[in-house]
Amino acid sequence: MRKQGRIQYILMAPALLFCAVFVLWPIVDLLWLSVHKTDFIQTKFVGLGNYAKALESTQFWQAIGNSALYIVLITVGQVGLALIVALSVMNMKKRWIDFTRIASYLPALTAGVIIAMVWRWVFHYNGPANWLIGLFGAQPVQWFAGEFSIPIVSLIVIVSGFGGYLIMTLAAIQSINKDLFDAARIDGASELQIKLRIVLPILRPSIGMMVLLTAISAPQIIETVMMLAPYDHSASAAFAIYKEAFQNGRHGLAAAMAVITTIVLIGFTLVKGKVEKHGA
Amino acid sequence: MVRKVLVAAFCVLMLLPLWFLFTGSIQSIKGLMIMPAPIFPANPTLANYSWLVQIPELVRWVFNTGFITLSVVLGSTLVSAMAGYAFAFYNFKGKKLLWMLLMLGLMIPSISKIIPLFVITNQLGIAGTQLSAIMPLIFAPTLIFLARNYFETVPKSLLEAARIDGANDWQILFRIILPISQPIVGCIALFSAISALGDFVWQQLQLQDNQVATLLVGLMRMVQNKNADGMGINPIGKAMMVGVVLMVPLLIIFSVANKYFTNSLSGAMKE
Repeated sequence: MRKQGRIQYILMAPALLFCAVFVLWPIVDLLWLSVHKTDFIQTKFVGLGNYAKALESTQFWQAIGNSALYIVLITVGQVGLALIVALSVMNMKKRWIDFTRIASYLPALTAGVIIAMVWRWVFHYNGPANWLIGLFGAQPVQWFAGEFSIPIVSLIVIVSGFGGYLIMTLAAIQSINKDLFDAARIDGASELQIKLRIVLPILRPSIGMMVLLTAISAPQIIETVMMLAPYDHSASAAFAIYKEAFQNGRHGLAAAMAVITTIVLIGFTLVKGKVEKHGA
Repeated sequence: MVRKVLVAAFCVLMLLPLWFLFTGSIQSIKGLMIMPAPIFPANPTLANYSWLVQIPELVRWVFNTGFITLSVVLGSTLVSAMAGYAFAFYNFKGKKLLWMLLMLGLMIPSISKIIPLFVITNQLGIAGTQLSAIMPLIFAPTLIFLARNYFETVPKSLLEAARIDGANDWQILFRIILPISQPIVGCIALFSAISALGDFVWQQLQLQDNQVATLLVGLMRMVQNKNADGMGINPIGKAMMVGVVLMVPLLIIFSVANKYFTNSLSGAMKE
Protein backbone atom coordinates (compact mmCIF):
# COMPACT_ATOMS: atom_id res chain seq x y z
CA MET A 1 0.00 0.00 0.00
CA ARG A 2 1.36 3.39 -0.96
CA LYS A 3 0.12 6.67 0.34
CA GLN A 4 1.99 9.23 -1.72
CA GLY A 5 1.25 10.13 -5.29
CA ARG A 6 -1.86 11.12 -7.14
CA ILE A 7 -2.11 8.22 -9.51
CA GLN A 8 -5.02 6.61 -7.69
CA TYR A 9 -7.16 9.64 -8.49
CA ILE A 10 -6.29 9.39 -12.16
CA LEU A 11 -7.18 5.70 -12.08
CA MET A 12 -10.54 6.44 -10.49
CA ALA A 13 -11.32 9.50 -12.57
CA PRO A 14 -13.14 7.75 -15.44
CA ALA A 15 -15.29 5.71 -13.06
CA LEU A 16 -16.13 8.79 -10.99
CA LEU A 17 -16.92 10.83 -14.07
CA PHE A 18 -19.28 8.21 -15.49
CA CYS A 19 -20.80 7.70 -12.04
CA ALA A 20 -21.47 11.44 -11.78
CA VAL A 21 -23.09 11.69 -15.21
CA PHE A 22 -25.00 8.41 -15.27
CA VAL A 23 -25.91 7.87 -11.61
CA LEU A 24 -25.75 11.10 -9.60
CA TRP A 25 -27.12 13.41 -12.25
CA PRO A 26 -30.06 11.04 -12.95
CA ILE A 27 -30.87 10.93 -9.22
CA VAL A 28 -30.96 14.73 -9.02
CA ASP A 29 -32.91 14.94 -12.25
CA LEU A 30 -35.39 12.32 -11.10
CA LEU A 31 -36.07 14.26 -7.89
CA TRP A 32 -36.45 17.47 -9.90
CA LEU A 33 -38.82 15.82 -12.39
CA SER A 34 -40.90 14.37 -9.57
CA VAL A 35 -41.95 17.82 -8.37
CA HIS A 36 -42.69 19.18 -11.84
CA LYS A 37 -45.32 18.67 -14.45
CA THR A 38 -43.65 18.62 -17.83
CA ASP A 39 -44.01 17.60 -21.43
CA PHE A 40 -40.48 18.91 -22.10
CA ILE A 41 -41.91 21.99 -23.76
CA GLN A 42 -43.77 23.54 -20.87
CA THR A 43 -42.71 22.86 -17.32
CA LYS A 44 -44.57 23.76 -14.16
CA PHE A 45 -43.61 23.33 -10.51
CA VAL A 46 -46.28 21.27 -8.74
CA GLY A 47 -44.65 20.58 -5.39
CA LEU A 48 -45.71 17.25 -3.99
CA GLY A 49 -48.66 17.06 -6.37
CA ASN A 50 -47.18 14.17 -8.35
CA TYR A 51 -46.63 12.19 -5.17
CA ALA A 52 -50.22 12.79 -4.10
CA LYS A 53 -51.40 11.70 -7.53
CA ALA A 54 -49.21 8.59 -7.45
CA LEU A 55 -50.61 7.58 -4.07
CA GLU A 56 -54.16 8.14 -5.32
CA SER A 57 -53.58 6.17 -8.51
CA THR A 58 -55.29 2.78 -8.42
CA GLN A 59 -52.95 1.59 -11.16
CA PHE A 60 -49.89 2.37 -9.06
CA TRP A 61 -51.35 0.61 -6.02
CA GLN A 62 -52.22 -2.34 -8.19
CA ALA A 63 -48.63 -2.46 -9.45
CA ILE A 64 -47.37 -2.28 -5.85
CA GLY A 65 -49.67 -5.15 -4.88
CA ASN A 66 -48.57 -7.14 -7.93
CA SER A 67 -44.95 -6.45 -7.03
CA ALA A 68 -45.50 -7.81 -3.52
CA LEU A 69 -46.88 -10.99 -5.06
CA TYR A 70 -43.98 -11.16 -7.52
CA ILE A 71 -41.53 -10.75 -4.63
CA VAL A 72 -43.05 -13.63 -2.68
CA LEU A 73 -43.38 -16.01 -5.64
CA ILE A 74 -40.05 -15.26 -7.25
CA THR A 75 -38.01 -15.16 -4.05
CA VAL A 76 -39.39 -18.46 -2.77
CA GLY A 77 -39.15 -20.08 -6.20
CA GLN A 78 -35.77 -18.82 -7.25
CA VAL A 79 -33.84 -19.17 -4.00
CA GLY A 80 -35.66 -22.40 -3.12
CA LEU A 81 -34.90 -23.97 -6.48
CA ALA A 82 -31.26 -22.88 -6.34
CA LEU A 83 -30.88 -24.45 -2.88
CA ILE A 84 -32.65 -27.70 -3.77
CA VAL A 85 -30.64 -28.18 -6.95
CA ALA A 86 -27.34 -27.19 -5.33
CA LEU A 87 -27.85 -29.53 -2.37
CA SER A 88 -28.86 -32.36 -4.72
CA VAL A 89 -25.79 -32.13 -6.92
CA MET A 90 -23.15 -31.04 -4.39
CA ASN A 91 -21.78 -34.54 -3.80
CA MET A 92 -21.97 -35.67 -7.41
CA LYS A 93 -19.05 -35.85 -9.83
CA LYS A 94 -17.69 -32.58 -11.16
CA ARG A 95 -18.98 -33.45 -14.63
CA TRP A 96 -22.54 -33.54 -13.31
CA ILE A 97 -22.18 -30.32 -11.38
CA ASP A 98 -20.75 -28.53 -14.40
CA PHE A 99 -23.51 -29.80 -16.66
CA THR A 100 -26.25 -28.76 -14.24
CA ARG A 101 -24.64 -25.37 -13.87
CA ILE A 102 -24.50 -24.74 -17.60
CA ALA A 103 -28.00 -26.11 -18.28
CA SER A 104 -29.37 -23.81 -15.60
CA TYR A 105 -27.36 -20.81 -16.61
CA LEU A 106 -28.04 -20.83 -20.35
CA PRO A 107 -31.60 -19.46 -19.99
CA ALA A 108 -30.27 -16.82 -17.57
CA LEU A 109 -27.73 -15.71 -20.12
CA THR A 110 -30.44 -14.94 -22.62
CA ALA A 111 -32.18 -11.59 -22.40
CA GLY A 112 -35.74 -11.68 -21.11
CA VAL A 113 -37.20 -10.48 -24.39
CA ILE A 114 -35.55 -13.29 -26.34
CA ILE A 115 -36.67 -16.09 -24.07
CA ALA A 116 -40.15 -14.56 -23.97
CA MET A 117 -40.54 -15.57 -27.62
CA VAL A 118 -40.72 -19.25 -26.74
CA TRP A 119 -43.00 -18.69 -23.75
CA ARG A 120 -45.37 -16.76 -25.94
CA TRP A 121 -45.83 -19.95 -27.94
CA VAL A 122 -45.99 -22.21 -24.85
CA PHE A 123 -48.87 -20.16 -23.42
CA HIS A 124 -50.51 -19.46 -26.76
CA TYR A 125 -54.21 -20.33 -26.85
CA ASN A 126 -53.43 -23.28 -29.13
CA GLY A 127 -50.09 -23.96 -27.46
CA PRO A 128 -48.56 -26.72 -25.31
CA ALA A 129 -49.83 -25.40 -21.95
CA ASN A 130 -53.46 -25.62 -23.01
CA TRP A 131 -52.82 -29.00 -24.65
CA LEU A 132 -51.37 -30.25 -21.37
CA ILE A 133 -54.32 -29.18 -19.22
CA GLY A 134 -56.62 -30.49 -21.95
CA LEU A 135 -55.27 -33.98 -21.25
CA PHE A 136 -56.86 -33.67 -17.82
CA GLY A 137 -60.09 -32.50 -19.33
CA ALA A 138 -59.71 -28.80 -18.56
CA GLN A 139 -60.94 -26.09 -20.91
CA PRO A 140 -58.29 -23.99 -22.70
CA VAL A 141 -57.32 -20.78 -20.90
CA GLN A 142 -56.28 -17.30 -22.02
CA TRP A 143 -53.22 -17.48 -19.80
CA PHE A 144 -52.28 -13.82 -19.62
CA ALA A 145 -55.79 -12.41 -19.46
CA GLY A 146 -56.53 -13.09 -15.81
CA GLU A 147 -55.34 -14.35 -12.47
CA PHE A 148 -52.84 -16.77 -14.02
CA SER A 149 -50.66 -14.03 -15.46
CA ILE A 150 -48.67 -13.20 -12.31
CA PRO A 151 -47.84 -16.83 -11.43
CA ILE A 152 -46.86 -17.52 -15.03
CA VAL A 153 -44.68 -14.43 -15.37
CA SER A 154 -43.09 -15.43 -12.04
CA LEU A 155 -42.48 -18.94 -13.31
CA ILE A 156 -40.77 -17.60 -16.42
CA VAL A 157 -38.62 -15.23 -14.38
CA ILE A 158 -37.68 -18.06 -11.99
CA VAL A 159 -36.72 -20.46 -14.77
CA SER A 160 -34.68 -17.87 -16.60
CA GLY A 161 -33.10 -16.30 -13.54
CA PHE A 162 -32.24 -19.00 -11.08
CA GLY A 163 -29.06 -20.15 -12.86
CA GLY A 164 -27.11 -17.22 -11.49
CA TYR A 165 -28.25 -18.05 -7.96
CA LEU A 166 -27.33 -21.70 -8.46
CA ILE A 167 -23.79 -20.64 -9.36
CA MET A 168 -23.58 -18.49 -6.23
CA THR A 169 -24.91 -21.29 -4.01
CA LEU A 170 -22.54 -23.88 -5.48
CA ALA A 171 -19.64 -21.48 -5.01
CA ALA A 172 -20.59 -20.94 -1.39
CA ILE A 173 -20.87 -24.70 -0.81
CA GLN A 174 -17.46 -25.25 -2.38
CA SER A 175 -15.85 -22.88 0.08
CA ILE A 176 -17.07 -24.94 3.08
CA ASN A 177 -14.31 -26.90 4.77
CA LYS A 178 -14.83 -30.56 3.83
CA ASP A 179 -13.42 -31.77 7.17
CA LEU A 180 -16.73 -30.73 8.72
CA PHE A 181 -18.55 -33.31 6.61
CA ASP A 182 -16.06 -36.06 7.42
CA ALA A 183 -16.34 -35.36 11.12
CA ALA A 184 -20.13 -35.51 10.91
CA ARG A 185 -19.97 -38.77 8.95
CA ILE A 186 -17.76 -40.35 11.59
CA ASP A 187 -20.34 -39.29 14.16
CA GLY A 188 -22.90 -41.22 12.13
CA ALA A 189 -24.80 -38.41 10.44
CA SER A 190 -26.63 -39.29 7.22
CA GLU A 191 -26.02 -37.34 4.01
CA LEU A 192 -29.41 -35.67 4.34
CA GLN A 193 -28.65 -34.65 7.92
CA ILE A 194 -25.33 -33.19 6.82
CA LYS A 195 -27.07 -31.12 4.19
CA LEU A 196 -29.85 -29.87 6.43
CA ARG A 197 -27.96 -29.46 9.70
CA ILE A 198 -24.52 -28.39 8.50
CA VAL A 199 -24.63 -27.01 4.97
CA LEU A 200 -27.87 -25.02 5.21
CA PRO A 201 -26.91 -23.15 8.41
CA ILE A 202 -23.49 -22.31 6.96
CA LEU A 203 -25.18 -20.99 3.83
CA ARG A 204 -27.38 -18.62 5.81
CA PRO A 205 -25.48 -15.44 4.90
CA SER A 206 -25.54 -16.42 1.21
CA ILE A 207 -29.25 -17.20 1.42
CA GLY A 208 -29.90 -13.82 3.03
CA MET A 209 -27.97 -12.14 0.23
CA MET A 210 -29.91 -14.02 -2.46
CA VAL A 211 -33.26 -13.27 -0.85
CA LEU A 212 -32.36 -9.58 -0.80
CA LEU A 213 -31.21 -9.62 -4.43
CA THR A 214 -34.39 -11.34 -5.65
CA ALA A 215 -36.66 -9.21 -3.48
CA ILE A 216 -35.11 -6.09 -4.99
CA SER A 217 -35.21 -7.35 -8.56
CA ALA A 218 -38.77 -8.74 -8.53
CA PRO A 219 -40.56 -5.35 -8.64
CA GLN A 220 -38.15 -4.41 -11.43
CA ILE A 221 -39.07 -7.17 -13.86
CA ILE A 222 -40.12 -5.40 -17.00
CA GLU A 223 -39.17 -7.24 -20.20
CA THR A 224 -41.22 -10.37 -19.53
CA VAL A 225 -44.23 -8.26 -18.54
CA MET A 226 -43.78 -6.01 -21.56
CA MET A 227 -43.56 -8.92 -23.96
CA LEU A 228 -46.21 -11.25 -22.56
CA ALA A 229 -48.61 -9.50 -20.21
CA PRO A 230 -48.52 -5.72 -20.60
CA TYR A 231 -51.72 -5.21 -18.60
CA ASP A 232 -52.60 -3.44 -15.37
CA HIS A 233 -53.46 -6.71 -13.65
CA SER A 234 -49.94 -8.05 -14.18
CA ALA A 235 -47.84 -4.85 -14.21
CA SER A 236 -44.77 -4.77 -11.98
CA ALA A 237 -43.79 -1.47 -10.40
CA ALA A 238 -41.17 -0.96 -13.09
CA PHE A 239 -43.62 -1.60 -15.91
CA ALA A 240 -46.22 0.76 -14.40
CA ILE A 241 -43.58 3.49 -14.21
CA TYR A 242 -42.43 2.79 -17.75
CA LYS A 243 -45.97 2.95 -19.05
CA GLU A 244 -46.73 6.20 -17.23
CA ALA A 245 -43.58 7.85 -18.60
CA PHE A 246 -43.28 6.57 -22.13
CA GLN A 247 -46.81 5.60 -23.14
CA ASN A 248 -48.89 8.15 -21.24
CA GLY A 249 -46.15 10.80 -21.39
CA ARG A 250 -46.58 11.85 -17.75
CA HIS A 251 -42.91 12.02 -16.83
CA GLY A 252 -43.41 13.95 -13.61
CA LEU A 253 -45.90 11.46 -12.22
CA ALA A 254 -43.73 8.54 -13.36
CA ALA A 255 -40.72 10.13 -11.66
CA ALA A 256 -42.66 10.42 -8.39
CA MET A 257 -43.65 6.76 -8.68
CA ALA A 258 -40.02 5.87 -9.35
CA VAL A 259 -38.85 7.81 -6.29
CA ILE A 260 -41.37 6.01 -4.06
CA THR A 261 -40.35 2.61 -5.48
CA THR A 262 -36.66 3.38 -5.08
CA ILE A 263 -37.11 4.40 -1.44
CA VAL A 264 -39.02 1.18 -0.69
CA LEU A 265 -36.31 -0.93 -2.35
CA ILE A 266 -33.51 0.86 -0.51
CA GLY A 267 -35.59 0.23 2.62
CA PHE A 268 -35.30 -3.53 2.01
CA THR A 269 -31.51 -3.28 2.06
CA LEU A 270 -31.51 -1.28 5.27
CA VAL A 271 -33.95 -3.64 6.97
CA LYS A 272 -31.79 -6.60 6.02
CA GLY A 273 -28.74 -4.87 7.50
CA LYS A 274 -30.67 -4.26 10.76
CA VAL A 275 -31.90 -7.85 10.94
CA GLU A 276 -28.36 -9.13 10.46
CA LYS A 277 -26.99 -6.92 13.20
CA HIS A 278 -29.62 -7.91 15.75
CA GLY A 279 -30.32 -11.42 14.57
CA ALA A 280 -28.71 -14.49 16.11
CA MET B 1 -28.93 -43.64 -9.40
CA VAL B 2 -32.38 -42.21 -8.80
CA ARG B 3 -30.74 -38.90 -8.10
CA LYS B 4 -28.79 -38.99 -11.35
CA VAL B 5 -31.98 -39.58 -13.30
CA LEU B 6 -33.72 -36.73 -11.48
CA VAL B 7 -30.85 -34.32 -12.07
CA ALA B 8 -30.60 -35.32 -15.72
CA ALA B 9 -34.36 -34.88 -16.13
CA PHE B 10 -34.14 -31.47 -14.50
CA CYS B 11 -31.35 -30.36 -16.85
CA VAL B 12 -33.34 -31.52 -19.85
CA LEU B 13 -36.37 -29.62 -18.57
CA MET B 14 -34.25 -26.47 -18.22
CA LEU B 15 -32.96 -26.80 -21.77
CA LEU B 16 -36.34 -27.70 -23.25
CA PRO B 17 -37.53 -24.09 -23.78
CA LEU B 18 -34.31 -23.31 -25.64
CA TRP B 19 -34.69 -26.42 -27.75
CA PHE B 20 -38.30 -25.54 -28.60
CA LEU B 21 -37.17 -22.03 -29.44
CA PHE B 22 -34.93 -23.61 -32.05
CA THR B 23 -37.40 -26.18 -33.42
CA GLY B 24 -40.14 -23.53 -33.48
CA SER B 25 -37.95 -21.33 -35.64
CA ILE B 26 -37.85 -24.00 -38.38
CA GLN B 27 -41.56 -24.70 -38.46
CA SER B 28 -44.55 -23.42 -40.34
CA ILE B 29 -47.55 -22.08 -38.45
CA LYS B 30 -49.26 -25.44 -38.99
CA GLY B 31 -46.31 -27.30 -37.50
CA LEU B 32 -46.33 -25.02 -34.47
CA MET B 33 -49.91 -25.92 -33.70
CA ILE B 34 -49.35 -29.70 -33.68
CA MET B 35 -49.83 -31.02 -30.17
CA PRO B 36 -48.04 -32.61 -28.45
CA ALA B 37 -45.18 -30.52 -29.83
CA PRO B 38 -42.73 -32.90 -31.53
CA ILE B 39 -39.16 -32.92 -30.23
CA PHE B 40 -38.00 -33.25 -33.84
CA PRO B 41 -40.30 -31.43 -36.26
CA ALA B 42 -41.56 -33.55 -39.14
CA ASN B 43 -41.47 -30.92 -41.88
CA PRO B 44 -38.77 -28.39 -41.05
CA THR B 45 -38.71 -25.25 -43.17
CA LEU B 46 -36.26 -22.40 -43.55
CA ALA B 47 -39.01 -19.98 -44.55
CA ASN B 48 -38.58 -17.91 -41.39
CA TYR B 49 -34.86 -17.57 -41.98
CA SER B 50 -35.29 -16.61 -45.59
CA TRP B 51 -37.58 -13.82 -44.38
CA LEU B 52 -34.75 -12.75 -42.09
CA VAL B 53 -32.07 -12.46 -44.74
CA GLN B 54 -34.40 -10.35 -46.88
CA ILE B 55 -34.51 -7.57 -44.30
CA PRO B 56 -32.63 -4.73 -46.01
CA GLU B 57 -31.17 -3.32 -42.76
CA LEU B 58 -29.92 -6.67 -41.49
CA VAL B 59 -26.22 -6.13 -42.21
CA ARG B 60 -26.44 -2.64 -40.77
CA TRP B 61 -27.94 -4.04 -37.54
CA VAL B 62 -25.29 -6.74 -37.20
CA PHE B 63 -22.60 -4.11 -37.62
CA ASN B 64 -24.27 -1.77 -35.10
CA THR B 65 -24.63 -4.59 -32.57
CA GLY B 66 -20.96 -5.45 -32.91
CA PHE B 67 -19.90 -1.84 -32.61
CA ILE B 68 -22.01 -1.09 -29.53
CA THR B 69 -21.08 -4.33 -27.77
CA LEU B 70 -17.38 -3.94 -28.45
CA SER B 71 -17.38 -0.32 -27.26
CA VAL B 72 -19.18 -1.24 -24.04
CA VAL B 73 -16.86 -4.19 -23.38
CA LEU B 74 -13.69 -2.18 -23.96
CA GLY B 75 -14.85 0.90 -22.08
CA SER B 76 -16.41 -0.92 -19.18
CA THR B 77 -13.53 -3.36 -18.69
CA LEU B 78 -10.97 -0.56 -18.74
CA VAL B 79 -12.91 1.74 -16.40
CA SER B 80 -13.71 -1.09 -13.96
CA ALA B 81 -10.17 -2.47 -13.93
CA MET B 82 -8.63 0.96 -13.32
CA ALA B 83 -11.02 1.81 -10.50
CA GLY B 84 -10.74 -1.67 -8.97
CA TYR B 85 -6.95 -1.37 -9.06
CA ALA B 86 -7.03 2.02 -7.33
CA PHE B 87 -9.23 0.73 -4.53
CA ALA B 88 -7.34 -2.54 -4.09
CA PHE B 89 -3.79 -1.17 -3.98
CA TYR B 90 -3.85 2.38 -2.67
CA ASN B 91 -4.72 4.06 0.58
CA PHE B 92 -5.93 7.60 0.29
CA LYS B 93 -8.10 10.19 1.90
CA GLY B 94 -11.81 9.69 1.43
CA LYS B 95 -11.41 6.13 0.16
CA LYS B 96 -14.46 4.81 2.01
CA LEU B 97 -16.64 7.70 0.95
CA LEU B 98 -15.67 7.44 -2.71
CA TRP B 99 -16.28 3.70 -2.64
CA MET B 100 -19.76 4.22 -1.23
CA LEU B 101 -20.40 6.84 -3.89
CA LEU B 102 -19.43 4.41 -6.65
CA MET B 103 -21.57 1.64 -5.15
CA LEU B 104 -24.57 3.95 -4.79
CA GLY B 105 -25.53 2.98 -8.34
CA LEU B 106 -26.37 -0.52 -7.09
CA MET B 107 -29.18 0.88 -4.95
CA ILE B 108 -30.94 2.72 -7.76
CA PRO B 109 -33.34 0.59 -9.82
CA SER B 110 -32.67 0.92 -13.53
CA ILE B 111 -36.23 2.09 -14.21
CA SER B 112 -35.54 5.12 -11.97
CA LYS B 113 -32.53 6.00 -14.10
CA ILE B 114 -34.24 5.58 -17.44
CA ILE B 115 -36.62 8.54 -17.15
CA PRO B 116 -33.94 11.11 -16.24
CA LEU B 117 -31.43 9.54 -18.63
CA PHE B 118 -33.92 10.25 -21.37
CA VAL B 119 -33.59 13.95 -20.47
CA ILE B 120 -29.85 13.81 -19.91
CA THR B 121 -28.97 12.20 -23.24
CA ASN B 122 -30.93 15.02 -24.81
CA GLN B 123 -28.94 17.64 -22.94
CA LEU B 124 -25.67 15.94 -23.84
CA GLY B 125 -26.77 15.96 -27.48
CA ILE B 126 -26.38 12.20 -27.90
CA ALA B 127 -30.07 11.23 -27.80
CA GLY B 128 -30.98 8.68 -30.43
CA THR B 129 -27.37 7.96 -31.37
CA GLN B 130 -25.36 4.84 -30.68
CA LEU B 131 -23.41 6.76 -28.05
CA SER B 132 -26.59 6.95 -25.98
CA ALA B 133 -26.74 3.15 -26.00
CA ILE B 134 -23.05 2.81 -25.09
CA MET B 135 -22.33 5.47 -22.47
CA PRO B 136 -24.75 4.51 -19.66
CA LEU B 137 -23.40 0.94 -19.67
CA ILE B 138 -19.73 1.85 -19.28
CA PHE B 139 -20.05 2.48 -15.56
CA ALA B 140 -21.11 -0.73 -13.78
CA PRO B 141 -20.64 -0.88 -9.99
CA THR B 142 -20.86 -4.69 -9.91
CA LEU B 143 -17.90 -4.97 -12.25
CA ILE B 144 -15.78 -2.55 -10.23
CA PHE B 145 -16.69 -4.59 -7.17
CA LEU B 146 -15.63 -7.85 -8.86
CA ALA B 147 -12.37 -6.29 -10.05
CA ARG B 148 -11.45 -4.89 -6.63
CA ASN B 149 -12.18 -8.17 -4.86
CA TYR B 150 -10.06 -10.11 -7.27
CA PHE B 151 -7.16 -7.67 -7.21
CA GLU B 152 -7.12 -7.80 -3.42
CA THR B 153 -6.11 -11.46 -3.65
CA VAL B 154 -3.00 -10.57 -5.66
CA PRO B 155 0.02 -10.77 -3.32
CA LYS B 156 1.39 -7.33 -2.52
CA SER B 157 4.96 -8.69 -2.61
CA LEU B 158 4.59 -9.08 -6.36
CA LEU B 159 3.99 -5.35 -6.72
CA GLU B 160 6.87 -4.43 -4.44
CA ALA B 161 9.19 -6.62 -6.49
CA ALA B 162 8.05 -4.98 -9.71
CA ARG B 163 8.49 -1.55 -8.20
CA ILE B 164 12.02 -2.34 -7.08
CA ASP B 165 12.73 -3.42 -10.64
CA GLY B 166 11.71 0.09 -11.68
CA ALA B 167 8.22 -0.47 -13.09
CA ASN B 168 5.85 2.48 -12.74
CA ASP B 169 2.21 2.19 -11.69
CA TRP B 170 0.82 2.02 -15.22
CA GLN B 171 3.27 -0.67 -16.23
CA ILE B 172 2.32 -2.64 -13.13
CA LEU B 173 -1.38 -2.41 -13.99
CA PHE B 174 -1.13 -3.26 -17.68
CA ARG B 175 1.89 -5.59 -17.71
CA ILE B 176 1.46 -7.47 -14.44
CA ILE B 177 -1.95 -7.11 -12.82
CA LEU B 178 -4.17 -7.40 -15.88
CA PRO B 179 -2.33 -10.37 -17.40
CA ILE B 180 -2.39 -12.38 -14.17
CA SER B 181 -6.01 -11.36 -13.59
CA GLN B 182 -7.24 -12.91 -16.81
CA PRO B 183 -10.12 -14.81 -15.14
CA ILE B 184 -11.68 -11.67 -13.74
CA VAL B 185 -11.02 -9.61 -16.85
CA GLY B 186 -12.70 -12.34 -18.90
CA CYS B 187 -15.59 -12.41 -16.51
CA ILE B 188 -16.02 -8.62 -16.57
CA ALA B 189 -15.88 -8.61 -20.36
CA LEU B 190 -18.51 -11.37 -20.47
CA PHE B 191 -20.83 -9.53 -18.12
CA SER B 192 -20.55 -6.25 -19.98
CA ALA B 193 -21.13 -7.99 -23.31
CA ILE B 194 -24.28 -9.60 -21.88
CA SER B 195 -25.47 -6.23 -20.60
CA ALA B 196 -24.91 -4.58 -23.98
CA LEU B 197 -26.55 -7.38 -25.96
CA GLY B 198 -29.59 -7.54 -23.68
CA ASP B 199 -30.27 -3.89 -22.88
CA PHE B 200 -33.62 -3.94 -24.62
CA VAL B 201 -35.71 -1.38 -22.74
CA TRP B 202 -33.21 1.44 -23.00
CA GLN B 203 -32.09 0.66 -26.56
CA GLN B 204 -35.61 0.57 -27.97
CA LEU B 205 -36.29 3.98 -26.39
CA GLN B 206 -33.12 5.49 -27.82
CA LEU B 207 -32.43 3.76 -31.13
CA GLN B 208 -35.64 4.82 -32.88
CA ASP B 209 -33.99 5.22 -36.26
CA ASN B 210 -33.61 1.93 -38.13
CA GLN B 211 -30.17 2.98 -39.33
CA VAL B 212 -28.71 3.05 -35.81
CA ALA B 213 -30.73 0.11 -34.41
CA THR B 214 -29.14 -3.05 -33.07
CA LEU B 215 -30.22 -6.56 -34.01
CA LEU B 216 -32.12 -6.80 -30.72
CA VAL B 217 -34.08 -3.59 -31.22
CA GLY B 218 -34.56 -3.88 -34.98
CA LEU B 219 -35.78 -7.46 -34.97
CA MET B 220 -37.90 -7.14 -31.84
CA ARG B 221 -39.56 -4.08 -33.30
CA MET B 222 -40.59 -6.08 -36.34
CA VAL B 223 -41.81 -8.96 -34.18
CA GLN B 224 -43.80 -6.71 -31.87
CA ASN B 225 -45.52 -4.95 -34.71
CA LYS B 226 -47.68 -7.79 -35.97
CA ASN B 227 -48.78 -5.82 -39.00
CA ALA B 228 -45.24 -5.10 -40.13
CA ASP B 229 -44.33 -5.98 -43.67
CA GLY B 230 -43.77 -9.66 -44.22
CA MET B 231 -44.73 -11.00 -40.78
CA GLY B 232 -47.27 -12.97 -42.81
CA ILE B 233 -49.20 -15.88 -41.39
CA ASN B 234 -46.45 -17.19 -39.11
CA PRO B 235 -45.60 -14.42 -36.64
CA ILE B 236 -44.92 -16.97 -33.87
CA GLY B 237 -42.36 -18.90 -35.89
CA LYS B 238 -40.68 -15.67 -36.97
CA ALA B 239 -40.55 -14.45 -33.39
CA MET B 240 -38.88 -17.69 -32.32
CA MET B 241 -36.44 -17.48 -35.20
CA VAL B 242 -35.56 -13.97 -34.02
CA GLY B 243 -34.96 -15.41 -30.54
CA VAL B 244 -32.56 -17.99 -31.98
CA VAL B 245 -30.68 -15.37 -33.99
CA LEU B 246 -30.32 -13.10 -30.96
CA MET B 247 -28.97 -15.98 -28.87
CA VAL B 248 -26.12 -16.72 -31.25
CA PRO B 249 -23.77 -13.93 -30.15
CA LEU B 250 -24.47 -14.73 -26.48
CA LEU B 251 -23.68 -18.41 -26.99
CA ILE B 252 -20.44 -17.61 -28.78
CA ILE B 253 -19.30 -15.23 -26.06
CA PHE B 254 -20.37 -17.62 -23.33
CA SER B 255 -18.51 -20.59 -24.77
CA VAL B 256 -15.36 -18.48 -25.04
CA ALA B 257 -15.56 -16.98 -21.54
CA ASN B 258 -17.18 -19.85 -19.65
CA LYS B 259 -13.94 -21.09 -18.14
CA TYR B 260 -13.35 -17.77 -16.36
CA PHE B 261 -16.76 -17.74 -14.96
CA THR B 262 -17.03 -19.94 -11.92
CA ASN B 263 -13.66 -19.12 -10.39
CA SER B 264 -14.16 -15.41 -10.34
CA LEU B 265 -17.70 -15.66 -9.01
CA SER B 266 -16.67 -17.91 -6.16
CA GLY B 267 -14.06 -15.29 -5.29
CA ALA B 268 -16.70 -12.61 -5.21
CA MET B 269 -19.00 -14.56 -2.90
CA LYS B 270 -16.39 -14.77 -0.18
CA GLU B 271 -16.81 -11.08 0.61
